[in-house]
Amino acid sequence: MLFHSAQFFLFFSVTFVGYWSIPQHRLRMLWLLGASFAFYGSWNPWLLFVIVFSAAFDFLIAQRIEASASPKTRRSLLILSICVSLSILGFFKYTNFLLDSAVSTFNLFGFDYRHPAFRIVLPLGISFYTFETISYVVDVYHRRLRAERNFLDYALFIMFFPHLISGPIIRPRQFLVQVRRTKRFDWLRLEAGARLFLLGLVKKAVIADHMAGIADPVFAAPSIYASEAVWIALFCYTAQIYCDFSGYTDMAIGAAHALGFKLPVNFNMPFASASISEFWHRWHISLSTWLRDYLYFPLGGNRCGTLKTYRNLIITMGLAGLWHGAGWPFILLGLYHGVLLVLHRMLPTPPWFAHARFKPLKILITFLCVTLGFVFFRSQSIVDVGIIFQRLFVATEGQSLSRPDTILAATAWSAILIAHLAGSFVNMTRAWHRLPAPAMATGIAVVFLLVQLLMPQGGASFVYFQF
Amino acid sequence: MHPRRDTKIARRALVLSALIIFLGEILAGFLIDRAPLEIRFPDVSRIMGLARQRGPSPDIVFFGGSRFGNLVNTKAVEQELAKATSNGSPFVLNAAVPAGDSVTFDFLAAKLLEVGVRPSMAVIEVSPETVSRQNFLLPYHLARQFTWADAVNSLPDVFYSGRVPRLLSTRLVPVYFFRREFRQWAFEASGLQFLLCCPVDKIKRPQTQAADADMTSAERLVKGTKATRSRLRKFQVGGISTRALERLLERYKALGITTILLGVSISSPARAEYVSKIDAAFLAYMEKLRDIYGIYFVDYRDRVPDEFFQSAYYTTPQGALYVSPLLAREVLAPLWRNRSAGNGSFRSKIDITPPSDVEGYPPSQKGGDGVENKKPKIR
Repeated sequence: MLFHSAQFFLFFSVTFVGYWSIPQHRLRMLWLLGASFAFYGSWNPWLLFVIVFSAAFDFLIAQRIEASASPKTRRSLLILSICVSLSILGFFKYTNFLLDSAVSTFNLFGFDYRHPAFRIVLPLGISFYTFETISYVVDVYHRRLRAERNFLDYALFIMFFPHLISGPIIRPRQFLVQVRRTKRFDWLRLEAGARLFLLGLVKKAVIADHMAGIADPVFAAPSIYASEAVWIALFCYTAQIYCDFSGYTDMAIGAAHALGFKLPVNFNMPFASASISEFWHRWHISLSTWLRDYLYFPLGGNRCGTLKTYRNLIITMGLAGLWHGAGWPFILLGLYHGVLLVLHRMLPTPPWFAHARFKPLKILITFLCVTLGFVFFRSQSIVDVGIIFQRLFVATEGQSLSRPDTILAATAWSAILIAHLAGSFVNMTRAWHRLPAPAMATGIAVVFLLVQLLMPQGGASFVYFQF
Repeated sequence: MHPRRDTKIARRALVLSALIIFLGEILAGFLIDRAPLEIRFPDVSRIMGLARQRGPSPDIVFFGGSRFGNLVNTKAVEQELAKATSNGSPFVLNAAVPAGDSVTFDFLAAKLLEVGVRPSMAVIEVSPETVSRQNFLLPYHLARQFTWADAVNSLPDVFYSGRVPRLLSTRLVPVYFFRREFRQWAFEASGLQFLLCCPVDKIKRPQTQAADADMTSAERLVKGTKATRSRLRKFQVGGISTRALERLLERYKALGITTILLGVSISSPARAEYVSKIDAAFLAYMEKLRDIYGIYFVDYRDRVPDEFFQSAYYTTPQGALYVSPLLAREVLAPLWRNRSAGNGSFRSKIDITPPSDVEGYPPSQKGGDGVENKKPKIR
């Protein structure tokens, strides 16, 4: 049930009406939990067992950690919880990758060994909810949070359907307090939610899906395309991944708003970043802050000397790459970003370059670095990574993209650029709220009708659903 | 601004936007009803173009669905008719429309008459599925040809056939449902056709046969047989397709057009789904139509050996080359001769000669199950 599908509109309408029709808060939360179960079960009901087990296990462990006075026991329980969570994630996500890698290594040394490929179904959103359960147990362990006593509240924290599949990764401290608070229907929040949802819909259905139509064929067979086609496809993929993921997040935040919940912002005009470090403060913010708080800081952060800081950056980003997907291109993606962050810290910025007039140049350099990183993200294999980089940097003849494809790509990027510029100089929310009601209504209606009209015929799933 | 005022503005904005969206959708529904045929129903537009390609009007028109599209080879029919009759080759048009049934044929025939295309003879595909009250092609009709008025008139059939979601999506969210058509219309009207080949739009609406392209013939056979079974699950003659068929027959009777209802050939496993109860009801209905409208019913359902099928109900090109001359010789030629001789009245006696040979096929390939020696059932 994709956010931009008719089924979701129907599902959300029923959930929304039922939710606000129920007067008692507890029953309302129960209704929401039921809806979240139905939402997740609509993909594969069997996978509900995995998520419920994972949630229940950490719920109980957290209570034991809180109840225990012995630091040793608390530490052991924490390690047990993290090991179980990561084992579940590892089994579903990395089994085949690890086996394949082991086989390749054996074969490298002359051992002829093969293994059957296991047909393991990846539970949707497992990477996201595993991080959420880990952060919950770690927070309880550090006494930053009291262990939740009500399993239904805790289950809703994990399973709240708007963020369940692809985040944003929410912190228990942010969410559990909202679950306990009695909700009141608010037209302002509903309007804000509808607006955000619509914005997400525009990004996903109008831009990302069209960009996918251009990028997919090129990345499927890069060796037949000319250099300029590969460049265009790479820019299209950059637009696709941004609009797809930030579009999903906007829709998730919008849907949550309509139900009286606030989810954290996940994207903040990332292509306006003037450095790679700034980029990670603007792109997938909930992941980068999670990695910072639960991995980079525990590793020592930047407090243990320069070399260890570099090491910590490389480890954190390498694992972030692995989190994205089970494959060497993803690990390389993480390492690439780790190296960029290290270089950013390592290389001194000349004073003259810090001047504001060089900001556009810095933005452009950052953008190109990030865009090149998406080669690792999108390529099917290491071999494809090599082919694509070769075509990007060595002028090669081959198949070109059609004129409409190029026009479409340019149009999409113009829209993204205008949105970034407008967002940088104007407070859009404030400007919106200055409009009279008929103008707002016309704006919402026209954009909604246009989205329907411009949606491609065969809309694709969200890119981040595979993670 | 005061929060209460903000809330009031937000409420007004949301309610008003819902109203504008609703009105926009309704308006789009009326707009799509007036869309040119080449936008909303390009298959019919294409056939109308073909009908006017070779002169004022085709002599014989085959109205059918995708099964007829595969079954009838017009060249073979024309050649056979030229051989069998002495007065030259008639112009034969295969007006088969993918996912077409009598609702489509009635619509197409009306459109053809509007532009002055009036054949002397019409062959119309019939089968138990296409006269069943549960119309399995309603989703296509709702998408391609139904207007608001048609949708209202067909409400009982839509409910009976379980197609309410499709009705709602075509009528209440037409902007979304017909987005491809609207885009095409807008771009063509503005002269920006080149933008139409946007990558995702290259994906065509699913065609009945294209979906099976990757399957083996055995898989297609099983799938087709299952589909036939499901289409006949609530079999009962009546509904929107019979009303359309009778409307078409009435119109053609009034115009003096010789009309033949042809029981379309399908493979034996699919035919086995026509259990005796279904078969009896179907034949009784054909009998009734013959009596009322003076048409001919020719049962070709078991006329093609299984080896000529690529799936449960689609013949191979060889199958078309096998059956088309047969049909021309056994059914069309006698009627054509009668018309040419001035005996165009309905129910005239037809001289039926059993088929003797099909050119290009060795004897071992002909009528493996002895079908070839059966007499066609012209009633």
